[in-house]
Amino acid sequence: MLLRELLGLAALFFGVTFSVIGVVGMLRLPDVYTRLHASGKVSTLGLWGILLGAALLLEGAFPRALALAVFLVLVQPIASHAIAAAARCSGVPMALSFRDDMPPLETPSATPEQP
Amino acid sequence: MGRATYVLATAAVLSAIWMGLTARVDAASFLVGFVVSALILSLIGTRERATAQLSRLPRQLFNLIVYIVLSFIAITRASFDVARRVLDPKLPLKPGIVAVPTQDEEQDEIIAALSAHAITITPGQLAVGFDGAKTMYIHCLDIESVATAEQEQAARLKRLRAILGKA
Repeated sequence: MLLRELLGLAALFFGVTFSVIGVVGMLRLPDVYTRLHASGKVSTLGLWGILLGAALLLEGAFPRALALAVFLVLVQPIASHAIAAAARCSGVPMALSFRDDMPPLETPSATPEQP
Repeated sequence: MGRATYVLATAAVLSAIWMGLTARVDAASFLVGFVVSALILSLIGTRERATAQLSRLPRQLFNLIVYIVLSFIAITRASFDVARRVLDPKLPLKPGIVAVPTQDEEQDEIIAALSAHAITITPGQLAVGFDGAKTMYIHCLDIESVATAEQEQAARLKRLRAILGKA
């Protein structure tokens, strides 16, 4: 019982640390695209940690935590991509760019292929 | 696999997920999930017929499990990689958008979408746009890291085709 609580607290601590790192990334990184890396990736692991902690500390929370973890990893890349595509379509420039292979939109009426 | 079998099999999987979400594991909960999913599935038309065959199923499942384990490792590595860059006082970034071909002859949209999903969870890469199902435009935190992107994409394509039962 004690071991389970210790593991749960460790997982919570890990998750919260990663969420904080995600926020630091949001503040430090220069533009939309790089910030999406911080908000998306780092917070995925952070939320996994918090969910694992919840599953260990709360009775009967395991199935729900597992379902949420799976749902998160399925949906989070889609959200990141949607924001990046929207930013690109409305012409948000990269603050720092060493290479850009993507052609700019020729016609103003062009719609994004992927919603 | 007929359409009815497809609907019933998918409904069974969906009702298992439903039981997980509601955290209620009993017959009534399963029945509610099953009936509602079967109803909705029979209303939604599938775009193409299901390609599943019973003899291929073990190999597909094996590939799916390998894929899930690899994805888990990729997510963990991605998070640590981004965290390291963010916490570094010098903020080591070399961002850019790179074109990566999907290398799929059939140009299947599902394969393109799954590839983009996989790329977005691998270290330091984020799918921004598509050119049909032919090319993906990927934003990278460090454009040096995409030197191997085409080989990775070839391996990923092979694995995804194996999961979908096309190879």
